[in-house]
Amino acid sequence: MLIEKLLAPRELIEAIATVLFDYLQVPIVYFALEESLPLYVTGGFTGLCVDLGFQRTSVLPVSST
Amino acid sequence: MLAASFSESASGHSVLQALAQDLGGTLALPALEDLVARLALIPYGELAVECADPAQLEVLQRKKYRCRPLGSSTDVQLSFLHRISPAKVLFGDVEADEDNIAATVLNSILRCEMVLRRVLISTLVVSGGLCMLPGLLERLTEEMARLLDLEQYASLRPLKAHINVVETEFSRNLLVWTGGSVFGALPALDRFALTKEDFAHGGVPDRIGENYLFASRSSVQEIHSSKDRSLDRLKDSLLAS
Repeated sequence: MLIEKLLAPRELIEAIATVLFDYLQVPIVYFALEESLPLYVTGGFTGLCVDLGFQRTSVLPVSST
Repeated sequence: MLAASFSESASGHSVLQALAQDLGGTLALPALEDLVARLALIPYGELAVECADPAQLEVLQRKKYRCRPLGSSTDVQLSFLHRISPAKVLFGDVEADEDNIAATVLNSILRCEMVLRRVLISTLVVSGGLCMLPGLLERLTEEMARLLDLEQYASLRPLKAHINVVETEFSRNLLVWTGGSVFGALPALDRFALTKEDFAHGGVPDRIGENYLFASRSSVQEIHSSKDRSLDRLKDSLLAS
């Protein structure tokens, strides 16, 4: 599993996937979203994830519907 | 996931930049980080009221703090204003169009559907390294309650009593990691992960919408077809009865 930011450039993700699949022979990859991960700790389905990081601060509402 | 309401605001880097400017720009980044980690604080409650009053700030200013930052051979003298400088950056003046975390959160909620707003404001999951600054969470909820009195957030005002930050057992600066390990332990992950064939077929799926959650395209189609099938079955059973 790899962790990516929501607005990470598409070229970057494609490049990472290419390297993993074609050169490192990885069978499966999951690109998880950095902003929504804290919500899994709370065990809920709906919440407002506020991430106060060093490089950026992001706010992402997550809802199960 | 509601990516349309995603927004960004001032971060730890801007905190360090502001402090570097205050100190005359002579310190390296690791030294500044060390200073912030050791001395920075975010005023809230009574202290915030005192800091807003110039006369009382003068009294607080008299005390100087001397400390030697990481990797530096000389001491640095800091004043109280330096200690509370992160608060100025993170909770800027909304009317002057400065970055303000609380305003960012409220703007994000404003862009959500009415039904969701109450649930969202009562389940704030705050993570990240900046949470380690003492007083940040208290100030965040306080500032949100204060901003709700402004004209632009009038529609959110009834939610004032519901502002709540979710408490977890884990340290806030590691929430992304713990969340990642919880998520990685889910048994369903294999089904939704991107396989080599999927990638060769259509590259990485879009980040927005259903494709993001069910990362591989074949699993999305599978889910859709199973949904259709269950709908058909429902229709059949309804018609039969």
